[in-house]
Amino acid sequence: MLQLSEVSRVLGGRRVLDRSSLFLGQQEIGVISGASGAGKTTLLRLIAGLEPPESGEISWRTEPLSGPNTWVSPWQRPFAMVFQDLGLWPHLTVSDHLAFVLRSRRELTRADRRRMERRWLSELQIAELSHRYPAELSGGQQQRVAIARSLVRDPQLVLLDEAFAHLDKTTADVVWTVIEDWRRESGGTVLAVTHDTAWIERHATQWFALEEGHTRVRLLPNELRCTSRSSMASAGALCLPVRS
Amino acid sequence: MAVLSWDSRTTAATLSGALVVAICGVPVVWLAFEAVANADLMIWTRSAALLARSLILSLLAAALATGLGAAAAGALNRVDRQRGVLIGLLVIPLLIPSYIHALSWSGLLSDSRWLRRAAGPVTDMASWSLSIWVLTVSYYPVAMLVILAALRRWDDRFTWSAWAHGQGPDAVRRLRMQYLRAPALAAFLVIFLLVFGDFAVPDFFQIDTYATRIFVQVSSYLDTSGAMGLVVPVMIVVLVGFGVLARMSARLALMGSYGLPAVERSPREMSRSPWMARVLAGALVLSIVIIPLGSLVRMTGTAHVLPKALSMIKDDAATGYLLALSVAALTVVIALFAAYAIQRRLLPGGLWIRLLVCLLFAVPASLLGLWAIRAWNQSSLLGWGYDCGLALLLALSARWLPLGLELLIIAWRQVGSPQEEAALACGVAWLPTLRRILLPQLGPALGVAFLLITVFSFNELTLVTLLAPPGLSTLTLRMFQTVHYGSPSLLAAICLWHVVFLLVPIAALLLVMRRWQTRLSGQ
Repeated sequence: MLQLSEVSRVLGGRRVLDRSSLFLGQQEIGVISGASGAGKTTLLRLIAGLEPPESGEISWRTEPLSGPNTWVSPWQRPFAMVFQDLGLWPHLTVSDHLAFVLRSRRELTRADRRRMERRWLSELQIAELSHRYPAELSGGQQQRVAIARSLVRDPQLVLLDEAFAHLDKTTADVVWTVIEDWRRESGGTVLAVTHDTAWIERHATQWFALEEGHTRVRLLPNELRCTSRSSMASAGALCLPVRS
Repeated sequence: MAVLSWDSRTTAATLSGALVVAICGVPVVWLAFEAVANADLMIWTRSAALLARSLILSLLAAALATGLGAAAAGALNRVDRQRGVLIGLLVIPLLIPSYIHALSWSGLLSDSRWLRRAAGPVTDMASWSLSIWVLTVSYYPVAMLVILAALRRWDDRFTWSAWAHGQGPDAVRRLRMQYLRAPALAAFLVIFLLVFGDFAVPDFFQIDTYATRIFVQVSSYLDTSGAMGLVVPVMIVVLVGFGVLARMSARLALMGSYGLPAVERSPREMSRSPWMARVLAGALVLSIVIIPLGSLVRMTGTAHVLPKALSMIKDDAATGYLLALSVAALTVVIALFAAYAIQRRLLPGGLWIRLLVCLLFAVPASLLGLWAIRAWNQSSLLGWGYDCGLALLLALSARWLPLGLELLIIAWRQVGSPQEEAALACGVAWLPTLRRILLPQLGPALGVAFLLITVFSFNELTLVTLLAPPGLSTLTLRMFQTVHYGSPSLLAAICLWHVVFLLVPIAALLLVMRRWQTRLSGQ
């Protein structure tokens, strides 16, 4: 499970995250939401190891990743991240994207790598685009390449930063089905940033709201319906104290 | 992206930062210290005329070069076909050392009767006007490239928004002039600093400036203390020029960050007399590149001089190339990692390191040579470094590191961190990411940096003359000796070979880079 304890981050003199805490169990689908500039992407970057926290600790399955005396490089963390701006490599074809990531998986033979590459290309319906460069793809196709590149790594946790923003509803459903199958099959965990409340209602098992640098656990609508606190919801008081 | 942990990229960043500080920071600090220690009011007052002469020469040449560069940029911006070829041809004067320009223009003037008449009675070698013109021709491509880059970012939407607010063509012209003021002034200052530090042209035309006086003091009289006495006024001029330039660069960076990419000219703008622009650009190529080179050919006289010159200089040219390639390789590798560390904010005080390095670029090469002589030649502990040429290698690297660093900082900014982070977040370690993702995209910028540093190191005269150990001779050194002791036809032949040795590999490398770029953008 993923645990963030009192994590803080200052960017450009502004405290973006202020002693934020978060707990996400294995195989869960966590969602982070919040206003623009609330620190959602920063939170994902801290978990991925792309930025160090000023204070606090991040751990995965009780193994500390970032802390006062601990640092695990991003490439050594068993995670994968899909970025909002994708970060595709303009000089590599679609299949080269997957092959490049697979090359870092030393435990696989060449044949296994080839098989994995074909599998994810076909799962995300981009096999026929395998020889194209990113500039030759539509926004939705690029998004699917970015997701395939992340899943081919076989991570334990996938971080999605507005990963469905460029996709139409049908494609978003297809892509989510692929991620959901992967999650069920491998026991993986998903932590996504999204504003799509309908999507949150359908898929999320945990909902975190970022407000003024603090993470707060929000009740999901179905949980709300089961509690006697619907009056709080109608008053807009969905925020509960931090669960650490 | 600021990762404080110790891994392969922080190791590379720290090492490169330390090397930059050692190669560039130490000379700057030493020069500042020596300038204060050798401060002598008597020497300064005696050298007031020297300062005035150096300033007038630099200001006039810089103003003229900026004007010529602006005219060339304006013409190139309107040319609709073969713009790349014309830019390439008009950049050639920057790649040819200024002393070759001096020789070709003085040859042209002495050969042609009508030109001599047009130039008036001042036709001797110490002609100020010729000196200013040669310096103008040598450095105008700097202004041309800077202003052309700014013009290419001018968007038709600026014009449309002015029209939408009821402004006429005059107002648009004023707006454009205001927009170009900052890049033009920046180019002017860069050229001013380059001319102020140029030793070869004033020496050729026997004009006494700071750069020549310091050089002569060290190389002829072996009087480093006397040369040090002249450092303070030079450093003050350099600091003032550099200070204004640093302020300008902040404004230029803001203009750049406004986010307008280079735009293709609209058919409406292209239709505005492109033939006139073509004629102007063609005339510039003819008068600034082809005729002066033709004058060198004419000066060689009989055909047998060329093979004779080649047999004389082939070893020197090989040594010069070897030295220049070593300098370029060392400098580009250091600049690659240092630029990465600065751009990705992995080094504390990255901005200060950048300023320090650029300040050294503004300091005349003769001062840098002075530091290297003091540091290497006069110390028994480090004397071996001077004897084996290491002092020369490091001094040349310090001289051209700012160029490589600034070019690669721009390149790293263009590649951006998302692509790198995407690889790291997918479990790929930093070194494979560097090799497979970042370096292929940095290829063109690395090629340009390597090419320019090789060319400028190959052309460097001051540092080579001051620091070449016994037994080491390069093409520039041979040429410098021939200027003083050889025949004009032999000198012209050597100059022609120098141009051939420069332009042929450049053309080959540019072709390779073009293929690389096509591969990158051909998706």
